[in-house]
Amino acid sequence: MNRPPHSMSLHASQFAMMLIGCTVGIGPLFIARIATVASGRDAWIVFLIYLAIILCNSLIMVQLAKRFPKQTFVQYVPELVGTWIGKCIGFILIVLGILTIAVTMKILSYIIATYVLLKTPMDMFNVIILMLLIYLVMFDLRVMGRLATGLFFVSFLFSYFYIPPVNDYGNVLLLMPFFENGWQGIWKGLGAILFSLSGLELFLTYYPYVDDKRNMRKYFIWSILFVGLLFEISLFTQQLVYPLKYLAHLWAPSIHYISIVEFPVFERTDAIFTIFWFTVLFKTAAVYMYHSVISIQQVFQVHQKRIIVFLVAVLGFAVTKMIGNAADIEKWMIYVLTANVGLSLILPSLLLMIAKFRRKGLAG
Amino acid sequence: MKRILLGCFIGLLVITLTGCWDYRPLDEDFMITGLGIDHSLGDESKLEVTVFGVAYTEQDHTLSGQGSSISEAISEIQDKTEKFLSFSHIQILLISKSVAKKGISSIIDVMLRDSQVRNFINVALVDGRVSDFLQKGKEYPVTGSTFEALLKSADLGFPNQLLHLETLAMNLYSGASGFILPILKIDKVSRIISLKGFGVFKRDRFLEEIDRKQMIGFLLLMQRLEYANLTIGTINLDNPDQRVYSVKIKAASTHVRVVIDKDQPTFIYDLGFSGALLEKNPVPLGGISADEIKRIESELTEELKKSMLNVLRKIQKDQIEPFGLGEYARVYWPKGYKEAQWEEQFSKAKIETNIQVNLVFYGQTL
Repeated sequence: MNRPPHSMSLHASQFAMMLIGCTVGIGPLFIARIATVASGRDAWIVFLIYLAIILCNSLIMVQLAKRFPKQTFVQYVPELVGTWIGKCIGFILIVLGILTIAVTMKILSYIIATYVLLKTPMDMFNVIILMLLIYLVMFDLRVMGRLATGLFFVSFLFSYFYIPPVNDYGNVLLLMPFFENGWQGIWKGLGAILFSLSGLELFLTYYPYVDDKRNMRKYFIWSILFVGLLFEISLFTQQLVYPLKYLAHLWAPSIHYISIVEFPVFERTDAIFTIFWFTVLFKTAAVYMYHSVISIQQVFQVHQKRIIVFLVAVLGFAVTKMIGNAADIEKWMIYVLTANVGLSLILPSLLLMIAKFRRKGLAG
Repeated sequence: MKRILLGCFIGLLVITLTGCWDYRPLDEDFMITGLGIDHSLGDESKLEVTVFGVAYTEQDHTLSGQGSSISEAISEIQDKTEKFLSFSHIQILLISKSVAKKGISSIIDVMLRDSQVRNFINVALVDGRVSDFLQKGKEYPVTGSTFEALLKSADLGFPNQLLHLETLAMNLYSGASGFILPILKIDKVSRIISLKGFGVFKRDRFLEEIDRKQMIGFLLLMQRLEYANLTIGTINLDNPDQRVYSVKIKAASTHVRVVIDKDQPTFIYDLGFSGALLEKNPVPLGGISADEIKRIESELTEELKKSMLNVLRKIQKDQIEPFGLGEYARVYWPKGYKEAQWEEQFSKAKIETNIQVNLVFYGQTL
């Protein structure tokens, strides 16, 4: 397999920005409620454990990707597990990619239609977002990398609101006692928050397109730590402010938090937060769209990018029509993102073992 | 060129499709600034909703509607005006005492579900008919700014959020045992609106009234008092040596400790205040001695302690616990604390106070 053309290459730092954007994506909006419903006051501890697991898994992913430095995941999977099973895995990844685009768009349009532009039909947002996505994905990967970098600096200026200061109602007692529900609560919580770090699996798709692979592991780990810290602080702060029963009642605690906390200097923080979130979710959808297009091209050996981009867009739009109200959005979100993370937790270890056993790839 | 055209097209879409297609001119809006909920006069099974607001090119006016639910009553109001009712500018929600006695959770829930209504609107109870408070008389009807001015008249400082719709929702949905809301009254002749006191709620039902002095104790127990003006003593014309003084105290530190003795908890409030002497009668012509300062500080301490314990006795008798001590009990008394029985346990709990007042400003008499 030849090395991708220069226009299809990224710097490791650009890739890290892309990864941060799409991993932050949807999770922080809901994690405080979902995690505390599952494991009560220990939710913030559960996330720390989850982060440690993900970090270990990321090292396995790096090892696997290093063996096939010029191939994407869907290209080398058939070499390891056989053509048909490999193609099936590739197909599952494509389906999950399209579902993720749909869920991301639906959440984005739902939030805007609920909090900002109340009267606008959600389909209008979906159409506009899709048009922007098509326009972006038609360009080469480096454009996406530059955009991701730009949006990172713009959007994460606003992470000030995402990690807000504790207001008058913060109470340390709400976090105590630690390990209240023991390991049973921790396990339950781990299962519930799996969805939150969806996006890291894209490392395996984008790895061959990264120029400076020597820095890749460093940037990958740093991006996970950055996202993990953001999640952890968000979760911790909201647990500190909201009583458990009230957290269980809030659909998107992060949005609620922004609307009730009075910040110094800035006014209408909810509007600013919406802009921040728009850029983050748009980036998520874009990165997944590119991933889906690349995967379709490689699994089905099709080279006409334009048709595939439109096909993915139409499919994504069709799926958004199947997703209904807020409860439905959440159900889809948890299923799809958990499947993403589940695959990225199980497959790399298995495939690395197979690669070592069958002596496939560079190290073999 | 294609890219520029596409960019222009997308830009145009953003402008035309994001809500402006069904815009409403300002002169077609009835911007509600105050909303009140009461029982229907003569029929307690129905609710009466009164709205006060501003309509472009018209004078401020009040409209009322009745129905079995708030939505039905609002529909009736909508039928009475060709203007579109806009709820995004509501500043205050008024609830009559008679409605509050039957529970306010359904009202709070309706308000939260409406995405137009902001979370930080103020909520208050009224003594009398709600519609009287939302009529334009000599005084302007109660809106956000007049409400804040009324609260200031109590010379009592606490976080504004305590009276916000959002905090009420947090109390109700998190199963808090009780909370407080201010009660407004209106003079029937002069139609001047003033602060009457504060209403204590058990769960979501209005239970009883407390006055300003008791409110100080209440806020101390909640650890939410920011400042208060206190006057101690009375003027006695027959006795010129009778002392009267006014002091402004400001919360400097608050901390609650839990001591477990023989499996029973004692909650100890460590409260620190700094104070400023505003007025003193007789006037201290020779200056204020250190002994005098100490005596004032000790009297203030006693006064604060008394107001806390008075409220505490009352609240314990009512078997409610609006002070958040349940969280302390859950953490520091895990063996004995039972969430379902906490109100009963609290009614027998021992509470001690350790208050320190430090007068730091005596005024600028030279």
